[in-house]
Amino acid sequence: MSNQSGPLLSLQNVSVRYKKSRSLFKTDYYHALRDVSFDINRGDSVGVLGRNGSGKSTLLRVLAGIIDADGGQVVKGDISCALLALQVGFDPQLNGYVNAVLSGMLLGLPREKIQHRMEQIIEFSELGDAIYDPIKVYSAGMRARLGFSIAVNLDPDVLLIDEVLGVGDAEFRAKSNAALRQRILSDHTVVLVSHQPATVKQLCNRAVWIENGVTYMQGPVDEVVNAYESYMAHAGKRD
Amino acid sequence: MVRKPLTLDMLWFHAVSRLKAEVQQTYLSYLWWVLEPAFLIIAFYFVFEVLLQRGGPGFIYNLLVGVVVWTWFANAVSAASGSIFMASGLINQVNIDKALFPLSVVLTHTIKQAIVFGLLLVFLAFATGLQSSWSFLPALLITELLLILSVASLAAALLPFLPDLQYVISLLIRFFMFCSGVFFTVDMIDKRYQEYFLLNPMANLIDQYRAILLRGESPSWFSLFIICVCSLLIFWLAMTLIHRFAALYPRLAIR
Repeated sequence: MSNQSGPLLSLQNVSVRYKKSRSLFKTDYYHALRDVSFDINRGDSVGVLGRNGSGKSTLLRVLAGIIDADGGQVVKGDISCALLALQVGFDPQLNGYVNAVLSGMLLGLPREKIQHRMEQIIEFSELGDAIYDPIKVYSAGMRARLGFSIAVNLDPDVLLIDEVLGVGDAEFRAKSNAALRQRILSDHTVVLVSHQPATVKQLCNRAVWIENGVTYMQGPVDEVVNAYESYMAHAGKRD
Repeated sequence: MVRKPLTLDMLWFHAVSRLKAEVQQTYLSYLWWVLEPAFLIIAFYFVFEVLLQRGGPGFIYNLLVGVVVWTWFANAVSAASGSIFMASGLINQVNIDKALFPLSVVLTHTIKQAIVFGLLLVFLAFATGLQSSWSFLPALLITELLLILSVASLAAALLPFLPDLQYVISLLIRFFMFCSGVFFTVDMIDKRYQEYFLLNPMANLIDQYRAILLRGESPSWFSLFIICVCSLLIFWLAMTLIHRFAALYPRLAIR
């Protein structure tokens, strides 16, 4: 089925730093990622765990190709489609429909094909006629629903998801979890970034734990999540 | 990572969608496309023809051509120059060809201006009559479009590194509005300076538009050629910079 040519995506000792101050003579750096290494195979569903500020969002942006790593290497396999992160608010002035079409075009899909899938996207998002309103008037929940619906229905090679599963009401959450699980079961590749161990455990087969910009632990989801949970429990006691 | 190349379809769809959204935000919608240059024309006409009595014969036609040609350039360049800088939210969320932003802005302004140009031609056709030299118009339009694309893209490519540039650009646009003969013709300035004055590509283009639309002359192919070649070189440089810095722009937005 897969794995004929190694991992789909491979991070090797990746580091990312941001410039902190804008002064002519002195530059301070903030290290968001110091040393992160892990592989993503086709059909994998990888959960990335970590506390706030551990570098999860930066990692996602490196995976999506939005920024380059300062150190280390990002090796990508044969990815025909770009990666898509959720909550694509393409342009707040434009309506949901146009935003969805533009997101699809970003993945390299022709416009007709996207317009074909729009019915599905609108139905799944439960936005109804609000799809023709500019995104700026959407609530956070509506935005997340549209973003999720676009991402799931446009089938990118690698689906990157950043903490949105907590958004939306219980019903939509259940629906999106189900849709996601279906993608995962049908050999789609998913990277889920979250600080909720339960979500990761539920949806992923592998997990990576990032702490202070370093891969602290990786492996089968149960092992990593259990270690993470007991660590967090300790950390909680210490505070 | 794979960055999908920008397709013409996407560029067109983006530009048209933005135009529609923009129109819906104002009460007078499409009328603004015409009202904006109209106000400029009225202001200049009032100052030069009425107050200063400096207009001279055919002033209004020269003014019309000057303002319409100039507003296309000025509006497109000033809006496009900040386009990558202002898209910082989006470029931190999706991996997108940043060239989309300046190109889309230039396209929206070109669509708007096409209507204004159309009205200008209809007006001139009635007022001064059609002339065979009008057939040279496409060559001038293409040259101006290339000039706009080059300046707009270069400004958009550099502005995220130097946000202060936005002030410089708006000052320069104002400076060049006075130095490009928008509201005066070349023969009104001292003979000694005419040659240098025409080195400014916008002054040169405005004069050439007047030559073919009002004076029934053919354009100066040599100047058009030079402007086109320089514009293409600058445009190529700007695109190279935008693609070279593609992964850097999202970081600049964070600082």
